[in-house]
This record gives sequence, structure tokens and C-alpha cells, in this order.
Amino acid sequence: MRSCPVVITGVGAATPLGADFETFTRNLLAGKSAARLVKDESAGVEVILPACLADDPPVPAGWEESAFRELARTEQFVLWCATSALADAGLLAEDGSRIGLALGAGGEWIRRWEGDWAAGGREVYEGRSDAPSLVDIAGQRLGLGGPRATIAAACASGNAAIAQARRWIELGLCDTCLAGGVETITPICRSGFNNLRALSKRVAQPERASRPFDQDRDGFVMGEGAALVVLESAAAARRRGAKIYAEVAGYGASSDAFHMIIPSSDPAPSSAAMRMALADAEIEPESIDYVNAHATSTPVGDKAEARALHAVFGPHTLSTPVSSTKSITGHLLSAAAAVEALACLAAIREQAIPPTINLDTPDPECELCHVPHQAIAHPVEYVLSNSFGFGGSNTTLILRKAA
Amino acid sequence: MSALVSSRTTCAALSVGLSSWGLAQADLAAIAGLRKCLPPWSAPGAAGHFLKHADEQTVVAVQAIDRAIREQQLDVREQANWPIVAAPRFPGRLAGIDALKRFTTGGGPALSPQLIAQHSLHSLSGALSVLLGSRGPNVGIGGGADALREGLLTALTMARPRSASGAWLVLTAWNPEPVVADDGTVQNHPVCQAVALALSLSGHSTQAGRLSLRGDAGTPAALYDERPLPLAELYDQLDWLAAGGTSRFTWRLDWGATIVLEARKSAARLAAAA
Repeated sequence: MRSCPVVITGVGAATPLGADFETFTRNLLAGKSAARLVKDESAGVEVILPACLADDPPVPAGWEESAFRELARTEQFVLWCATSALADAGLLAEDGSRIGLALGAGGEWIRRWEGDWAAGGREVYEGRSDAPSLVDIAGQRLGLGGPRATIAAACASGNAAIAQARRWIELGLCDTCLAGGVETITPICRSGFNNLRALSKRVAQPERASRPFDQDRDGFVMGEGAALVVLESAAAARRRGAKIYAEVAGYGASSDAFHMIIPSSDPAPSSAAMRMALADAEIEPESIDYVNAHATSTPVGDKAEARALHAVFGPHTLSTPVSSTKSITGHLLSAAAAVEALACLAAIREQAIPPTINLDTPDPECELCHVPHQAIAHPVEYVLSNSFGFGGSNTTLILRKAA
Repeated sequence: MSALVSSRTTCAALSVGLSSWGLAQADLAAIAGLRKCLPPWSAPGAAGHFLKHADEQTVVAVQAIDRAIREQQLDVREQANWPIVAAPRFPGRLAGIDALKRFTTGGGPALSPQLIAQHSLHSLSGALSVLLGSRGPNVGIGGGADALREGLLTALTMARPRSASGAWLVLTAWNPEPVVADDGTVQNHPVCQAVALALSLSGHSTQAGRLSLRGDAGTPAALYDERPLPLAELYDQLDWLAAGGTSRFTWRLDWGATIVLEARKSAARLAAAA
């Protein structure tokens, strides 16, 4: 047993499914796709793609709306999620001096420069070396006095951030830590991924485009938003009578060391991440009640993950429910793992497994215990969430229902 | 919430040894040449053109790692599960400028498909993991003005595979930041710098120094207003380190801790320099 179990006591969300945990959970379990067509135009060239956009987040307490809306969208997402997560945990009015922030964000600066340029600025040309980062901005505005860092493992950033936050608490660097991820998808971001040929071209029915594990999948659907959770030691949470969503029971990480974009077909590295997480949680694979798969709806990636799940779960593979909530939310890139942690919390709280929608014809090379189309009621104590990213990052987070 | 204050962390001191360190710097012209040079320890699967589209900070980071490996004759085969932490400052600026120009003149399809894979915050650590053949976790840290401190903190505190004997921490930045005209030409003379630290997690090797974190109970608050030592000055002071000498660098963290880097120029480096 861990000497310092760390638990989640607050949640903040700004997602294509809603800007609070209740709405997110309701839409997730209803399998309501957030995808719609987004059109970008530049130099007379149109790019039309399915995407899952988040609404502008609500204005957090203490802000004038006009001032809040002047902030960059990414800042709005982070501040809303941080404020609402702390409020949810009952910590918003508390002294922030021992609260840290680990934020998963991989394209913060390119997004910022693009936004500045679109507004007529020249920040990217000028070479300023003192511009504050998102973690510094959030830390200052919220009075957070604990350790802070921006952490990027591409699509695995949120898991890496949650793990880092847990580590800081275990080491005594802070008592509480916000952790999660943020992503805003800009016109350049959308076209950048499109030029990688990674995105679905299913424009006729955008809500049917994200179809992980389906035989007819043709790429992922980009999403945007943010999710932050509040982590603290279980002992501290219990002392103050906090509501506990789940324990961060295990974490594992590895790298493919194969390619900057394409996942390795060798299941060993991603399997290693899962096995590390299971060992960290001190459980066997058969204790897992639900796997939230990374599966993004790419032909190569979904198959590689299915292979790795078989390698880890062995004879239990076909009896361990698996779903990819990216079928509903889209792929939120740097925020994906954090939003999927919310999906895992939803599963734990509702004792139900969200579906993989659009899974009409499962790929025979992805033979798993799928949950197609509709959520199912199911006992959920342990959830395993995979997130794999460009640069070959493999991360696995295990959450456990609070006792 | 209350104003930002130091938390006076109560954490126990953390410390790792350094088994080696290496420096590299290059201007844009030199970087172009370095793109064609993969070091001899590169993993067999890494194609010869692997660095062709890499961010400039990645190219120079590879050179710094190469120097660190050669200086102490580190065995890359022992690094198969080493975590890699890379902390670049403002990665992807030059590629970002190119992307804005292409988007304006040619629309979305004109963007390089390499933009996201090679110029994001995770790209440097990902590239190093492929070249080194290391299957330990890799993460990009910081990306902004405080990347150096965030990188040091993360390297000291991240969860690691229990069997990993070491880890890489690579810190990179331009000095100064490139200033670019509207036509894309660089107006000043920037040099890209990288400092690579081979951390010894087994605790036995301190031949090249030590990296540590300690809580700061009792430290005067005024010290937290000090300008943190930037990469450019760290680079210069390491570069000037006298043979057999040791230098000590500190970075105060405003939440109540201090990171200390003691770097030693060893006898092996003396021989290499001779």
C-alpha cells in the first residue's frame, strides 16, 4: 500500500460536452457526439473538417465578464477549470500557498503566437524572453504558492501532469495540486494535423467521423477544451471531510523509441506502461473493471493498442470492458488524458461504462470487450486509462473508487 | 485567494549525482550542417535524415548529449530505460513564423506536416528518446521563460522506472532570442545553446557533480525576487570551468525551495580537452 495515497477531491471542466462535471457526465453516458463541421479559410483556400469545439467557458467568480473575455481562450479555459475545481474541492477560499499546478500543454506558445498575430501583433517576430507562461498566469491570478510546471507528452500530457502532481504531494512539496491539461485548436493547428493525414475526412456526417476500433475508421476528430482535477493526500482529504472522487492508484510511463509520429507496432513499450501502472497500484489485470482506451480512430494506432491490451490482459482481455470516449468528445490532444480522467471518474461515480459510439463494425484486428453505442451499467472499482502521444510517449493512469 | 507567498516547503532534501554533462551551441548556419550528422550512438532504426526537420533546439541538444556521452564514455546500451526530460525555451518560434507566412500565402495545405511533430514542447524529448533508443518516459517541460527551473524541478521529482540507473535532463534556449523581420530574415546573431546533464539515479556516480533540491525554511523572502540564472549564463560558466574545478549554481523557487547544481570538470574531461 502506498505510504501517501493521493486522491481527487475537485474537478473543473471546459469540454465539448459541457463546462461542468455533471453536464459532461450526462452527455458522455448519453453518447452524444460533440462533433460538427469547422471551416477555416486562408489565402482563398478552404479546409473543412469535423471537430469538437468547446463553448467559451463560463466567467469564474470574481471576474468581470469583459475583462475575462479579453484573455486568450487558452487562459480562459485554464482559469475556469482551476477556479471551478478548487471551488468543487471546497478550497477556493483557502490559503493557496501550498497549492501547486501541473499543466499538460504542448502547443502553448505556437497557439499564443498565432493568436497574437491574428490580432495584429508581432510577438513571434520580436523575440521577447519574458512573456509569462500559462502556469505563471494561473498561479498569479489564483494565488497558488506551490510548485508549478508545464508538462508535455503530446496526447499523454494530462496523465503525465497528474502523475507529477501526485509525486509532488508524496514528496511534501505541496499539500494540494491542480493537475490536468488544456488545448485550443486554432486554424493552423487544424491544418497542421490535417497535413499529417491524421484526421478523418468524414465531412458528410461529422458526428459519425470519430469511430475508434471500427473497421471503417479513417482518422481522428480534433477536440479542444481543458480539464483540471484537485489532488491531495487521502489523509488530508479525510481530515477536512472532503468529497473524494477517486484515488490515483497507479501510474506507468514508457516510450516507444520508434518514430516521432507513428506508434510502434511492437506492443512491448505500451504494455510496459500498463504493467508499471498495475504494479504501482498493486493489482493484477483482472482487477480492472474498465479500460478507457487511448484509441483515436486511426487505422494504425487503434490496432497497436488492441495488441498491447491483449499482451497485458491475456485471458481477461475479452471480459474487461473497453471503450474510447474520443468517439464522443473527439481527441483533445494535450487535454485528452485529463478529459479522459474525468470520463473515468464519471464511470466510477455512476457505476456505468461510457460507450464507443459509431462502432458499427469492429475491426477484427481489434478484438476486445467493446461497449458499442450505449453505456452499460457495470460495477466499477478500478479504471485503467491509456494515453499515448507523438514522440512515442505511453502513459497509463489507474483510478480507484474511494473506499 | 491570498496573494502569492512562499510556501516554505517542508519537503525532505532530494539529490542525484551527475555522471556527466555536456555543452553545445551553434548558430543557424552551423545548425544546417549539424542536421546531417547523426551521432555514432544513434539507435539503428534512426534514419540518416532524422534531424532534417527537427527544431533547432533539438539539433543542438543532440550535440550536447553527444559531448556528455563522449566526455565520460557513457554506455548508451545502459540507458535503455532512462527517462528523458527536455526543457526548451520557446521551442518552435522560427517554425511558427514560417507557418504563419505559409498559412497567409497558401492557406492550410501549405503548412509543413512537420510543424506539430517537430516543433511542439514534447518534440525535443521525443526525438532524443528515438535517437538514444530509450524506452523510459520522455517529457517536454516548461517551454516558456522559466523552462530551466521547471526542467530542473521535474528531473529531480518525476516518477521513474525503478530499474533506471540514470536519466537525461537537457536544457535549451536561444541566446539571444532571434529577432525576425517580416520577410523571415533573422536580424540579429542568435546562437542556440544546450546543456545536457546525465543524472545518476543509483546515487553512486557523482563524478561530474550533483543536482539537489532543498526546502527553504527561514530563507529571507527578498531572495525570491532575485533574477534566476538564465541558461546563457549557466552555459558560459560551465564552459569557462577550470580543469578540475567545481562550480555551484543555485535557483530559488518562489514557493519555498532551492535547486543547487554542482558541476565538476573531471579528469576525463581534462584528458579529452588536452
